[in-house]
Amino acid sequence: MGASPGVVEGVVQIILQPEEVNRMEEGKILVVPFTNPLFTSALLKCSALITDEGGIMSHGAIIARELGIPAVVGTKKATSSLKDGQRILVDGERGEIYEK
Amino acid sequence: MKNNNHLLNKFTEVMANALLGVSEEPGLYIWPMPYFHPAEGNFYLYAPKNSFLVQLRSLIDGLRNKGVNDKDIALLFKKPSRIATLTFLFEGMRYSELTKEERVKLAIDILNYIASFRKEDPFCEEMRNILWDESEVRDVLRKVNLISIPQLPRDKSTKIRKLASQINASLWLLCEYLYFNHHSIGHEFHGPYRLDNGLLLIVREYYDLKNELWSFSDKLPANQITSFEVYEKIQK
Repeated sequence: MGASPGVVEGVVQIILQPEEVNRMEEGKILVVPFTNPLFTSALLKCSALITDEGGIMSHGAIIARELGIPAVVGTKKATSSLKDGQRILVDGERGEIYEK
Repeated sequence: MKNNNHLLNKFTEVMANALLGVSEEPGLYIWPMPYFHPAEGNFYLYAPKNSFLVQLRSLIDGLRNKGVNDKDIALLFKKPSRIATLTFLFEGMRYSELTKEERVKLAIDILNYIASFRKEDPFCEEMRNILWDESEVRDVLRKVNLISIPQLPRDKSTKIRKLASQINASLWLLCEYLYFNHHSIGHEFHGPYRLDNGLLLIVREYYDLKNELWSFSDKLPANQITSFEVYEKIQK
């Protein structure tokens, strides 16, 4: 579902564990199972957020709206369906993700 | 022990209503996780905090014995949201050494401290967190320089809106860094205050940022940052 409006095209960066947040590169699209404060540094670098779990009141959704970046949350399968380095378009208003 | 305390009853009612609204959502879907469950909730975090509860009770009693009144005790916490984080302790209280009477008394004290800040609506039932009266709002607004964004060219106003949003988001995230789940220990968002001409003021205070627990806090330029935002033409 769409949790924060906006449309961004970019490259996927999958982060499965908070311990991996240092891998996050500036401007990439962050794809995670869910977020909590341990993902903070990655959230500050990403251009959009996609999560497997969560709703419009989840941590990631709230932070994405504050940051003004698009977010699609509760996809159930983003971390398993998307690939690192894949180019996608995220529509946070409609809650849709397109392969480019 | 029969409880006739209005605040405690109101708190129970408000929490019950809030939980009813989210009970079907998994915990991860709500932030900060407000669900109360003996196995999944915050219970496991607070059950070992017996010594904290005993110390808190003893600290409050000690201050009272020294003649400090409840309003001044509340002010030691600085902000109501910070005190509200203590209500998470209610859940694990029954596992503490405190007697039931002491637990109820401590809960009532904590709720009274919150109410001393939010005089009219201690649990924000009207969706407003009002801490200042009209004269305080006027005084504060006299001291700040507001930037009128609608009067700026579109490209500039967009940049400023985005910058303000990112500053707030970054400060929120910093509070999460400092205080994790209980990030409201480091910030208080209050308002909306109704101004003249239908304008609304929202105040976001971030404080105790240079928390000595963290070495990097020394590098922060300020211990407190407050953001004032005035909105017009708000639609419900």
